[in-house]
Amino acid sequence: MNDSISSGYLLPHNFGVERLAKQLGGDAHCRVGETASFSLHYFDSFDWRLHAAGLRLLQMRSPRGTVVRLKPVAGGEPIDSVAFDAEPAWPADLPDSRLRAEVAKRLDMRVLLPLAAVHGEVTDLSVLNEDGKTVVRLQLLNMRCDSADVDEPRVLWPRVRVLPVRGYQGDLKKLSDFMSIEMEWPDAPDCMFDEVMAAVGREPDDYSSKMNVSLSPDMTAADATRKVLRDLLSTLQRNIPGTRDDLDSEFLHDLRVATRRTRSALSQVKQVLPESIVADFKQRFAWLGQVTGPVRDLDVFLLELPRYRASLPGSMATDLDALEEHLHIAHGKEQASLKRELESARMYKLLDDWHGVLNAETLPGEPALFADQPIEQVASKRIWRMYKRVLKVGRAIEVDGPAEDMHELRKDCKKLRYLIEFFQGIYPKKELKELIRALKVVLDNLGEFQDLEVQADKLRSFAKDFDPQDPHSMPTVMAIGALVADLLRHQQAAHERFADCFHAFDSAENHAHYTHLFKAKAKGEAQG
Amino acid sequence: MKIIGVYNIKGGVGKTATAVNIAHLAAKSGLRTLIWDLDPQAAATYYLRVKPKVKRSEKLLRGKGKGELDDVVKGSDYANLDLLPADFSYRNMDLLLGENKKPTMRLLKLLRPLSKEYDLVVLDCPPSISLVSENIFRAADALLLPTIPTTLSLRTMQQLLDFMEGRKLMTPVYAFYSMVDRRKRLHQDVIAAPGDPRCSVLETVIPYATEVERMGIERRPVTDYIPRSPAGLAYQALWAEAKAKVGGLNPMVDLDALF
Repeated sequence: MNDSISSGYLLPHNFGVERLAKQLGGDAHCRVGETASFSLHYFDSFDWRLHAAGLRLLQMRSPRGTVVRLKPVAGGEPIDSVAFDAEPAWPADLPDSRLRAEVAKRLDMRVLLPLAAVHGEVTDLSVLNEDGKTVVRLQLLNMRCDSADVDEPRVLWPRVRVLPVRGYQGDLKKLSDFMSIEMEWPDAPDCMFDEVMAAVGREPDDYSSKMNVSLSPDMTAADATRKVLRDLLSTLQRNIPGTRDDLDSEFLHDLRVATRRTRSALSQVKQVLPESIVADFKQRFAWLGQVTGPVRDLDVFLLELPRYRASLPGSMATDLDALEEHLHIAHGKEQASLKRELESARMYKLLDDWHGVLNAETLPGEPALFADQPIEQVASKRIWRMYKRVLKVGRAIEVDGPAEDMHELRKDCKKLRYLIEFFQGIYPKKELKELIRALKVVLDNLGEFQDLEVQADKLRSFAKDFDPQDPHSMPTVMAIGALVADLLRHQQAAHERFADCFHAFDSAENHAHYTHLFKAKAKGEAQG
Repeated sequence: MKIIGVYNIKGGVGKTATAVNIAHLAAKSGLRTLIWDLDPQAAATYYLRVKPKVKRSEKLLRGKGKGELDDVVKGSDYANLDLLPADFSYRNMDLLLGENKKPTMRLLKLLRPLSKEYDLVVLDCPPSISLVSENIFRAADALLLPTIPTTLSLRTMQQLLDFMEGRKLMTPVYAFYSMVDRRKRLHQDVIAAPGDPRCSVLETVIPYATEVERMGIERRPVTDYIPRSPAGLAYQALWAEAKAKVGGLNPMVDLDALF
């Protein structure tokens, strides 16, 4: 087919099928067929994981039935389709298929959410030649779209879709010329996706848990820091509904990360915001970290459970059933209490007050010492100091030293990472990426070390909820014992790997990067 | 892409009517469907209002030159339904196929490049048992065998099954009774009798009906111009049964491409 021929044209509003048929030459040249209704929903995770993998998932309902289809974003043939009538949420609910496997692989622990819906009517038209033979088929489309983000449906531009009939290219060309040149109808885009998303005010990757605040080096420290904190507040707020309704465990996770980063910014970006504000909100965000903790702990266990089962001998795997039930019951209780906290006046006031501070023209009280200094100096100084601290603490760690040393180092590494992430906008991207990667190796090792210990401790405390004398509980207690032993073995292994991980961080090359990026810029401001 | 051959050694058993009606129903359900009229009588081509002419058809069948089936496909009046028209040269198809290196595989080889474009190919086969038939048996995922419930028809069914057994052809064969007149005692008896264990008999029975004969006047499938008639309903039941037997036929919803 000729590439210059459009796949469709946008029509003037209120251009009904009768007018279209008339324009095409009336009954002798055009036959109007059936009109059918359809609806279509796009799905992805809250953080667009399918889109990031170049995939698009949609569910089409029409008189032909309901089909869920996975397509490449780039266009082309669908990857797989399944008949599925209910609203897709968890991949496990979908029929066993390639589609399910592909979606599950990308989503991990995330649930599918509807992004937008399109409702429409499609009318078939046939353009006929002098023999009465169909030579081009057309579809007149009238569509509206809506989503949870808009109050009322948005009407999309009506359009006519051109479906070539094979072997009648000449007629197709003639009709296309008529539509584009004579009628001057503009080409319709080949794919509706962008138009639908724009209509409901969404766009791919409009949410990401990763930080990426654009800053300029000469912004004042106070302005830059508040901008970073506004970004964190927005992330935090966007995750509240999903956390409250427990849609998936990642909402709470992202909410907690945003809270932790906020607290870290408050304590690590020193003397930039007024001391009274810092002290007040440090304590109030500490409360939020605390009330969100219990559900997250249980989430971690429920997510880890399949791995725990796999680590036990086959004959013991079902011995964890009672633990799973126990975790679910505890989760239900903690989730209910978390929901209450998130809906409380205290939470509402925290967000409202914080919003006020971050958006106020001027901050109350004495301006902090470094508030008006350029952010480049303040940030560089903080990062450089934290880097030196990490080196000092890390170099002092011994293979058989106390676990606390590892925990302390982890806290410092996290502070360093957060500082770099907050202010990444003022440093060269490529070099920073290298730094974060090297730091992440150490952090992953320290994180594993600590998580395994925490999990082992928690499992021990869960075991106390089962009576070892009760013959029904005994296998569960024994399975937990086996798990704890396994976790502690892995923790030991993580400890032994530490030296290697840290060695890569503590390299001359890495040091050169830190020196180049932060040291000189920090020095200019050493009087602080 | 699945390939269904509608075949019988005998002529006049309702092959073309079956091929055209099930192809129409498949297309209507959203399957991208191609019907190949292999019969030089060109009845399917006529029903679908296309001229029975294929450029360079002899070269295509002989396996000479660079031509592809893709170049000679014609769209029908129906969404998702395309036709490979018949050509008068098809009367010599056996000879033309015989010139290939692998004469029994030529049709399959020609169809393979179309597998991305179509979900289903329906072959409307000429009567007789020949090199053409063997090509069809090798290309098809399943054979639909319209059978008039008479003794003579049953004999030709045996001939086919013997032939396939002799050549070790494993293509599943689904017979069904066609042009059935319930008033005839013989028809009733044949339908009631146990069939050959080598082929399954579908439950659907296509009645003898004037509306099927009228396809030649209307030049449309029965399932289009009078879908609620007994024959129209019977073809719908036949398609549902055949589709389930063949499997793997998930319709593309035509509008999907837009989203």
